[in-house]
Amino acid sequence: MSSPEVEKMLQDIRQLPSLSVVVLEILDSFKDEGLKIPELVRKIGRDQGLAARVLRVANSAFLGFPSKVASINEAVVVLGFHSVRSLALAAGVIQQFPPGEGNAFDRLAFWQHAIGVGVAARVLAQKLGRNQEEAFTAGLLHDIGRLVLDAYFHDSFLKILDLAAQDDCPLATAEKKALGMDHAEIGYEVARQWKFPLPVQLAIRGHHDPDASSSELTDLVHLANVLAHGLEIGNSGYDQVPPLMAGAWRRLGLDWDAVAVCLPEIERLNAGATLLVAESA
Amino acid sequence: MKSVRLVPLEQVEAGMRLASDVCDDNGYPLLSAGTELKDSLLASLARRGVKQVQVEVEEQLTDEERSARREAASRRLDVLFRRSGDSPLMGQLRETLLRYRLGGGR
Repeated sequence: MSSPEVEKMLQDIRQLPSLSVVVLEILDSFKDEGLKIPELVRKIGRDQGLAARVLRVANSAFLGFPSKVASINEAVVVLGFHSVRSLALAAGVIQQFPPGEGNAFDRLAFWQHAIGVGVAARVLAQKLGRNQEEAFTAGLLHDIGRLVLDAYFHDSFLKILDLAAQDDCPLATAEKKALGMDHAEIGYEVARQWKFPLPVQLAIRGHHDPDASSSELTDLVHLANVLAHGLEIGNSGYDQVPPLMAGAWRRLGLDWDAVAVCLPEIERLNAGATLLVAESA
Repeated sequence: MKSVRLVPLEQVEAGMRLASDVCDDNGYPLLSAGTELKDSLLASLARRGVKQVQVEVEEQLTDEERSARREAASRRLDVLFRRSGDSPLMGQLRETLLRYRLGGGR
C-alpha cells in the first residue's frame, strides 16, 4: 500500500471537504451519548431538507410504527432518538451527494442500493438481537468510498467503470487495478477522516472481505450487501452477487430458512426507506 | 398460487387485496397491507395522488407457465451468479433466492 498513486490518493482524501455541520454534530453525538440531544434535535428540525426526508421515512412503515408525525420533535417522542438520528445521518449524507448528480454513474440507483443494504442489515440485526440503528447506518454507508470516487475523483472513476465493463469484472477489481486501492479501502480512509463511529469504519473496510478482520457488524453488513445484490435492490455499479464468505456466514450463525424469512421483510421495509431519496425533497 | 403484482391504480378492481402498505408522497400511511379494496377506497386513493399499488393476485398457472417462470427466474440468477463458480454456499444462496422469487416475492 505504498505506491505513489496510493500515497497521492491518501493525501487527496485528507483534503476532502468536510461534511455539513449538522451531520458532524450527529456523528459527534455517537461518542457523546446523552449530551446535547435536545439541541441536536432542534438543529435537525431547523434543517428543512433534512427534516422533510426524515419525516417521510418516519411516517412510512419503515420503522414498524406508522403514525403521523409532523415534526422532528414528535418523531423523537414516538420513535426514539436513535431511530431519528440514524435517519438524519442518512439524509445528511444523501444531501451532500445528491442523487441527481453524476451521469455515467447512476447516483439514484447507487443510493437505492445503499438504502437496501441498510435495510437488510437492520432486518438481520433484528433477527440476531443486535443494534439495528448501527446496522442501518453501516449498511447505508458501506460503499461511501465509491461515492467519493464519483464525486471527487471523477475522471479516474470513469476509467474504472470502462475497465469493469470491458473485463466484466467486479468494480472493486477494476478499482484495485486502476488505483491500487478499492472502494472499501478508500471508504475506510474517508470514514476515518470524517470520524464515523469506529465499528462503522471497520464494516466499511471489511464488507467484501470480512474474514480478513472480522467484527460482528462487518459480518452483518457483508451478508446484507450480498442479499441486496441478490434481490437487485438499486445498483451499486455492477450486476453480480458478490461472493458470500464462509467465515462470516459461520460466525453469524444463521441458516437459510432464517434468511428466507428476512427477504420479504427486507423488501417491505425498503419500500419505506427508499423515500429517503424520493424526488420531492 | 398467490403472487404480488404492482398494478396501476386504474386497473385495480374492487375486491383485490393490498399486498403492501400504501403511503402518499409524503410517506403518510393511507392503507395497510391486507386491506380489501372497495370502490370508495380506490376513489380516495386516486384523490390522494396514488398512481399504483401492490396487490395480491391469485394465479392459476398451467404447468407450462410455471416452468417458463421458473426458467426465467433461473436465467436471471445465472446472470447474477455468473462468477460465483461452484461454491456450495453460493449455491445455497441461489436456491434460497430462486424459491423466494418463485414464491411471489416479486
